[in-house]
Amino acid sequence: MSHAEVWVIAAAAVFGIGLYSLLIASHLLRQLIAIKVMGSAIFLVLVVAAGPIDGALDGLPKALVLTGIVIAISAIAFALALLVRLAEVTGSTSLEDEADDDR
Amino acid sequence: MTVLLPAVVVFLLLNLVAGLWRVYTGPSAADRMLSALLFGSTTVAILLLLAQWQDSPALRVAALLFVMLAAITSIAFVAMVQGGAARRQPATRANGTKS
Amino acid sequence: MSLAIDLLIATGLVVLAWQALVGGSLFRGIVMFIVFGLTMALAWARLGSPDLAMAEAAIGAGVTGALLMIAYWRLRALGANRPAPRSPLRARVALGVGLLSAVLVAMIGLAAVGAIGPGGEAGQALAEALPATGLGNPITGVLVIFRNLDTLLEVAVLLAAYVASRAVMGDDKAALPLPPAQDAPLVGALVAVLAPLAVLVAIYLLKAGSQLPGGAFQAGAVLAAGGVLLMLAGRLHPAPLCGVGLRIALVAGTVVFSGVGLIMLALGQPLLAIPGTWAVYLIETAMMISIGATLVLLFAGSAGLTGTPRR
Repeated sequence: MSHAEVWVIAAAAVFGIGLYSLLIASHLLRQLIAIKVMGSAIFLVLVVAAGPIDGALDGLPKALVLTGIVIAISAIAFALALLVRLAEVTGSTSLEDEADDDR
Repeated sequence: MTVLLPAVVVFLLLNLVAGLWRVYTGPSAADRMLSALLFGSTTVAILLLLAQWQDSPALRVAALLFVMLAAITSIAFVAMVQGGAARRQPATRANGTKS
Repeated sequence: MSLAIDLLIATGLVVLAWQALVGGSLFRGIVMFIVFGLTMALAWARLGSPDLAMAEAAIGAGVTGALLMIAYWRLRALGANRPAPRSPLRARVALGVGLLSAVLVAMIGLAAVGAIGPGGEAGQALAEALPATGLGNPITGVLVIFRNLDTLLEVAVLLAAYVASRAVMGDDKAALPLPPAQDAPLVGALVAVLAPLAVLVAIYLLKAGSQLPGGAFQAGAVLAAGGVLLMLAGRLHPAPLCGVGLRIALVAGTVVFSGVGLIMLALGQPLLAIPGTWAVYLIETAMMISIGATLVLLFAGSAGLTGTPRR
């Protein structure tokens, strides 16, 4: 197994765990962490797929990922503000409860 | 040196696994905090070794950043654990100011 | 031996992701997520990318972790309900979906590893065009010169995230609650050392960013970490109003960046042409200040900041 394959397979496993958790977690905070972890896995694939591990000089995917990290924290920060507001207004930390009430 | 440095890195990584076990089991929040701090300093050592071995001096700057963040994390942990997990307070009293 | 290092870090990432996301208390999940972020930083270091290692440690683990922690603390302070766990049937379906998506990502990733040659065409073009700019760090080159419209919009997205966070907060609220200030004897001494150090490290990262790994985003995140520290230690408090200085700091990155670009347009150059290394420093300094101020305000959950506590 080559270096790149190790990283890609690990990233794929992390992505799968993230999606699994996103689907089963009911707390929105946990779902947000899941989305962030899935994003990290994709960043890893992007950088590893772009070049060799030792002495890689391709700056393009790295700049892309750096942008991605900042966009991710912007999205997370806004989502957390929404979550705190949701808890203030409804007292709930999940989107599931509303569906239950309708039944 | 080409064999010694990666060997030490592997040893330190195994050290991290041991530290992680403590983060995982706890039992108290303080145990988790201390092992997370240990995690920070071991990571610094790994970064310094990688800087030497991979011949990329910039990783030393990353190590510097880790040292600073670890110190800040320790204060954040104390604030959150005391304010969040240990005692519950109504939102109005805990407004960032000493009442 | 080097494969062993890769295997250990990669396995650590998978295990940490599992522990952060599946089972256990939410608080432990957040701690595990922060450790996951630090391990990601190690992975970037191993992959020969100190820029990303710094950004991941400061932004991905540090500031994101602080935001998650403070949100968790606020939810507890609000006494919000903990949702009921999902049904076992859903867990089985989710397991299948997770496995499928992992296989999909692995297939795409492995195909991409084989498909793209070392360096790639865009990477070679970048390496050839970089010396003419006077910059030594290809990532700074891409961010500030070659693809600077992306970076300008990125700073705008961060600003938009702050404005949107304020907008959903409701009119009745000046600030979200914060944990009580830490006044243990050691905290003061630590803050006295760490706060100036944060500023020093930020300026160093900014200065180094043109030639070596570093840059405005890492520097801004370090400034934000310093601000969060001051806030937790009770040296900086949320304020109901955003002062003029803080407003300037919030928009400095967007205004200076687009200002330089528009002036060049007026001088007959293409839009967002960067006139020289001095302009790179000017833009990066403004971005660093904006990023630091925005992230601290997002943590504070308030409109402004003040040194004196609100009574």
